[in-house]
Amino acid sequence: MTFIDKYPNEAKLVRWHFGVGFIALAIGGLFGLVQALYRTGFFRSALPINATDYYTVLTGHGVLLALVFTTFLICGFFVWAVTRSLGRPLAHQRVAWVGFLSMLVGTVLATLTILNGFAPALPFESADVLYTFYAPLKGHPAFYVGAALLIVGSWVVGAEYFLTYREWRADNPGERIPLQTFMVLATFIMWYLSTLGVAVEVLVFLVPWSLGWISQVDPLLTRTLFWYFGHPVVYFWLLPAYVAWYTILPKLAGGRLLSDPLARVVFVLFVLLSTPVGFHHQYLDPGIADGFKFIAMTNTMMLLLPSFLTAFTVVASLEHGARQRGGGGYFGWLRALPWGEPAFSAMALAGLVFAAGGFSGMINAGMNINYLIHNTLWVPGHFHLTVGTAFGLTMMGVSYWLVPQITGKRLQHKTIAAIQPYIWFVGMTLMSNAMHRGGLAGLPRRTAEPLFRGEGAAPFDPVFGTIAEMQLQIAVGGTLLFVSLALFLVVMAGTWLTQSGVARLSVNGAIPAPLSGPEDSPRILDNLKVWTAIAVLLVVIAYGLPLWSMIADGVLLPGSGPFPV
Amino acid sequence: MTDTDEDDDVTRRWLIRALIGLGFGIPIAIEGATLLGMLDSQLFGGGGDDSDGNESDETATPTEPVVAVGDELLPGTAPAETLTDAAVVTGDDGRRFEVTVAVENTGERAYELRLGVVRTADGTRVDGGASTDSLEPGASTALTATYDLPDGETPATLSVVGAESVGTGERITQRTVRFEDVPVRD
Repeated sequence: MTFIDKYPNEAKLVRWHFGVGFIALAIGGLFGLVQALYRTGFFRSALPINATDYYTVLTGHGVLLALVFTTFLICGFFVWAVTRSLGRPLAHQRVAWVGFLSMLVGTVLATLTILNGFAPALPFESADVLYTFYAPLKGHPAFYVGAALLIVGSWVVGAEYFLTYREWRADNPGERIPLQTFMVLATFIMWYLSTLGVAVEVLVFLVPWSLGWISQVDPLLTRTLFWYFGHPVVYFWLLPAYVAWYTILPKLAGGRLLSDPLARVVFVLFVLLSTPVGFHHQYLDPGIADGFKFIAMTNTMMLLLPSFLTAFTVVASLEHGARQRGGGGYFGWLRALPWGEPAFSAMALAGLVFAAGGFSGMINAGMNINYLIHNTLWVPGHFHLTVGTAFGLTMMGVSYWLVPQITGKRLQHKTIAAIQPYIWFVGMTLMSNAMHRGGLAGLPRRTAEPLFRGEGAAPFDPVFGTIAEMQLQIAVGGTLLFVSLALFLVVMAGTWLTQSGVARLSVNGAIPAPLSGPEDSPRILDNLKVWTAIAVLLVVIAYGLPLWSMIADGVLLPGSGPFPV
Repeated sequence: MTDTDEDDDVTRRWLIRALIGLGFGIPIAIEGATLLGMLDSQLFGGGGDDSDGNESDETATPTEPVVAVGDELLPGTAPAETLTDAAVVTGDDGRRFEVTVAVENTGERAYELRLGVVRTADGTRVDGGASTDSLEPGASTALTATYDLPDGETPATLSVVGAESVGTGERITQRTVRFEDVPVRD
């Protein structure tokens, strides 16, 4: 019996989340291709944008992919995870739907303001504020209201996970929380704690400022509130990928998760450490004492630990699966893994790429070495590995496995699906490699200009290769990524639109128990209240005094008027 | 399983193997080449557009055209960019290299002149520069750029860029010019 047969209402909710997410992915991905070609100077005059429009494209790409696609896929995926692991439907369907509708309305509002940059005839004015929407860049108020509705909607959907868990707990006193639900709840505890910052920024400052009710905001304070949220949001993206790698990937490999307790430890560490690190995005901001930047740096370095634990546990689980399939030898077992299965290969390749992204993230985290790459092309090189691939490609793999279960339809175009993850992997390696090298050479991010002609290579000294070659590599890589994305959407559309009941589903949705179960771990791991309290304390330590000092000289001071875009 | 099914299966298996080979091989090649290139650069000083970085160990024969006051900096462009002053000015606050160019847009499209990086005779790169606004055809202006020179060093080359608006983009003319015997003023 598949998921849609057992939980038809939840399957519908997941479908709606995934559907909206895929639409955002399609539009955002197209924008990415336009950006890559325009920025590198290839077919530049043939593209229907100019240098000003570039920032509309950039805002759309970032918002639709990093905020909309991610949030919808995560909320939908977690509906499946909670329902499946608790073995019961959601406690209150309506709550979840209200949350979804809030997210959808918010997305539509924000998207309209962004697209207004191309099409002034659309309602509202434009919002070319980039996905970090800093003051003093000011967009139309509808953008900020839309962003707020998206976040609040996710809160409401998240509340439904806790309400369903509460019902389960009443029926199952003393039981260990099923692993997937534990992971979902931990992720959302972190999400609730971290989104407080951006909620205050948007509702208290940016909306009134954009409406003209207040004449200025303190950019440092609003940036700080944004980055209070802006780093943990990457874990909001990463932890669902971890849910997939820990619970689905071992099964696809033919084995079982090595250790449930280790997985719980990892998620607890993320609850504690995700938020009190945001200053590592503000190392060059004046007005924040170096000591607090140093605290953020050490907390960030400690975040390496759960990722290394994950690398060990997931790879060991894959090895177990490979050996179950008959693989042997020190490394020969790798060949026994199902590399031809798109759900497996997408997730495995995503995990491999994430390792590279993690290492470049360490450079970003080191306060002094960060200065070398701050605001350069290195930074998007890094996050295309992490959110772009660790999250994006993983969710593509999850979709190959889950969409048949939530639609009741057999996966179509399997050969296309089999090659798609590899095209993504090659495209991302090319693009990200060149972006990292370009960043080391000093090429800035967030500029519409190719920058390798004219003043030419002289201001940019690459250590290896030439600027022109890097730009070509970015263009080729970006094109391959778009092709891969298109192939993924072809498979999804083909599957979704195919006739149901044409053939028996070939996917097995069962997830085997881990080799080492929750009974092998201390019960305190399941005490989410303790971890939440410690997380709040760490945030107070990391942010209390700096925020106080920013507020003490006047909440709106030193202020900046709006710079409309 | 029929013969056709077996053939399809074999074809698919070979496709997957080829895919895996390419899918891993290309990234390994790209990253490997990057790693080797960076090691080569760090250990043996090779590679890169300006492999010398800021310090040049080689004594290369200068190839840039020499310009003096009254010369055009970009003779290949329609607009005229005439060097009207180039001098090192010394003062209590250090040494500065000041360059002034008279720009007259005698072309048919909007035009911008950008003065970029200076390199000294010792090979030190001095960042800075200046740029005109976009000049409409028939417009003219004077552009001055000032560079803070390290003690005791003299300017040797200047990077110059002319940018002509073409559609939504630009046609770029770039040249590095050389100065000789730059006068020093107090």
